[in-house]
Amino acid sequence: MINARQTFWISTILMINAYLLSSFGVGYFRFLEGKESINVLVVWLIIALLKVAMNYLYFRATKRSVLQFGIATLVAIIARLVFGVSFLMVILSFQFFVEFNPVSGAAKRRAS
Amino acid sequence: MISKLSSLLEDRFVRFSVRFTLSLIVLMGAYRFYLWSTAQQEDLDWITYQVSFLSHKLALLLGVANCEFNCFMDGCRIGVEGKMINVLEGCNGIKLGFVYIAYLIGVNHNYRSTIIQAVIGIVMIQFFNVFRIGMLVALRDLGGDAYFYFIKYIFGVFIYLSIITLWLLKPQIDKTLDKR
Repeated sequence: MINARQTFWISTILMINAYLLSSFGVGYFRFLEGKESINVLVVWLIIALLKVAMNYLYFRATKRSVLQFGIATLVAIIARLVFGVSFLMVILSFQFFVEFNPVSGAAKRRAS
Repeated sequence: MISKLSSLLEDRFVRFSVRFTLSLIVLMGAYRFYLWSTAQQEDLDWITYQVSFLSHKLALLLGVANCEFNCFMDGCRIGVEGKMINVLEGCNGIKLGFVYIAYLIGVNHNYRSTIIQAVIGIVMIQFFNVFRIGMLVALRDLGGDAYFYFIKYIFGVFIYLSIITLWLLKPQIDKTLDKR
């Protein structure tokens, strides 16, 4: 049986790998954009939706609340768009805070 | 409404989110101002220059012969003629360092510990970044597809794992610093 901490680690490793491997797909979209067979806004939207969808699965797998998912995603999107900060890095910051914070984090989640 | 808002702010996750976001805004604001002031002087920022300079030294140590190093206002070019790589402002790794510092401020064990860990974190992230760029120059010089896979995947894994290691070591560092 996989416990909550193991689920967290497996999900984190999968998320980092999926995120980085998706950059190869992003390269393909950029290639299509360069050939003018796809609009730049469509490329941007596909990449943004892909990131949010992967993030949603990550938060679901680690049993976080909708509020936690919403806040983390909103901050990550703003940080990415305004400052050019890594989306994944912000998401990981929130996930690690929840996981390794004994009061509002993993302990509370596991108790419920 | 106000009681609902205050009870929400008492939640540690929400407090962390607010502190993290505000710290990130302040740090990035200061950095943007610094970039703006260097642009006014028609100069390259010091961080990007130092990261490029050290990466060039590392590439030479790794045995890249005739490795050139040229800097312009928007970044530096390192490598052998015809196989040079561009090190722009976005490649200097400082933004990852700011996210790490914002996390530390968000958690806020104590100020002394936060400052010491922020310095350790920035040094460690920059160490990995210089290693990454130096290796990329060497891989570009060697040729083949390895360069592409390293830049797209392997170095990303390394840099994220280095920060995760710092987060995991944080409680131990806090304990050590509290004892003193």
